[in-house]
Amino acid sequence: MAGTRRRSGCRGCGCFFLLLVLLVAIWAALIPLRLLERVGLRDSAAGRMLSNPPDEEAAAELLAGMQAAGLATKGVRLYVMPLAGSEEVAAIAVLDAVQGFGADVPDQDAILRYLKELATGEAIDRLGITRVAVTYQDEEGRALLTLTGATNDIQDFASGRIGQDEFLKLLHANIDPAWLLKEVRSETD
Amino acid sequence: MKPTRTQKALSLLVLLTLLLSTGGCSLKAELMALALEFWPEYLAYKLKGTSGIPEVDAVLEAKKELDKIDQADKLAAEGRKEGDVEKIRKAMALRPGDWRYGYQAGAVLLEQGEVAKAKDYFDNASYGGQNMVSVRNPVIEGEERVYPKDQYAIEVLEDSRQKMQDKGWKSRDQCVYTYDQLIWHYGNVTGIATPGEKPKVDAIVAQLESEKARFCPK
Repeated sequence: MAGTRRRSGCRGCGCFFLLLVLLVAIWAALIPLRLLERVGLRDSAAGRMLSNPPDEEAAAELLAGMQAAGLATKGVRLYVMPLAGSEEVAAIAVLDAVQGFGADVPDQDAILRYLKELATGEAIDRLGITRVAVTYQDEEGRALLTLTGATNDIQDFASGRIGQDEFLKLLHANIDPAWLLKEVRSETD
Repeated sequence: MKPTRTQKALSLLVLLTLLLSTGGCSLKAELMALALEFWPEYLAYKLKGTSGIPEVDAVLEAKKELDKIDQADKLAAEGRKEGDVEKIRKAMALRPGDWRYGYQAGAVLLEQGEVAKAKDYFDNASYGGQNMVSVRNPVIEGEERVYPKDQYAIEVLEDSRQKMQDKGWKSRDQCVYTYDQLIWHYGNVTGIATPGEKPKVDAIVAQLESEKARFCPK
């Protein structure tokens, strides 16, 4: 009798555990792994909102502004994207090591400097750019880090109205976790 | 004795602090410092699947889409140069919402004398997707407002018109359709033109009407 009760309890636990694993697997497939987007059953936010053509002339104007501000532009690809279904226009700089970015950049705060210079460029308000982003792409073509912020917030930081700590809280980031874990491991070994 | 994970993490943090405080940080060190700074937020973003702001999500995941733009632009430029519509179709498949490729495919077909097919592409490009008002890229030098779609169509069509005129029009339909499209796109520009722009655009439209009557074979 006792044995029967134990077997029944275990079966219940097993079912519950299996259900839990199944739910976690479904959640992982749908949210962090974005399976529906990967198999093409659903458009990603980027696919939906970046469907408009880039504004090439605006990008060329901003790039010229960055050059005039003394920033290295070798290997910098710049896209000005009017976001579909939104009033926002984003300027996205890809700092592309494959195309030679990195050799002539100043050492300190390079990423933040690109973000600041982009957001404070002479043409930025006239072009209606409301969001700025910088992505660093390494020699293997992986996007290691993307930072983005609202143009106003970056302008506030650049003019000293807000400090760096407060500013960093206003930014959003995407990271290549495999790269970061590898770097951390190699630093700690 | 092997260091524990906590000790490893602490030593890494000390290392990064040292790197940053000495001011001699390399680009990679800056990247790492920023990545570690944003790591908790990144994890929350991945676990939730969104930052809560669609525009932010789009920009954070933009890399793949930007690569597609480069790839599609390259294909379309090759297709235009070689007169290969198939390549431009591939660009359209990569970026279905990007109306530039529709105008390019239409222009290639128009140059080849395929007026009915060209019309489909021009119509889809003109009536599909958004037509954002831009504050630059004037059709008229020195002026400031235009719809990018019309401006783009005008650039593509002007280029095609030149080529077709040089080679000789293949048919009356080809010639009339080219001029009609140009007149229509310039007409759209007139609709939003400033008082300063309007007479200039009107003059271009009148010129096109006159050229259509003179140059299109009867």
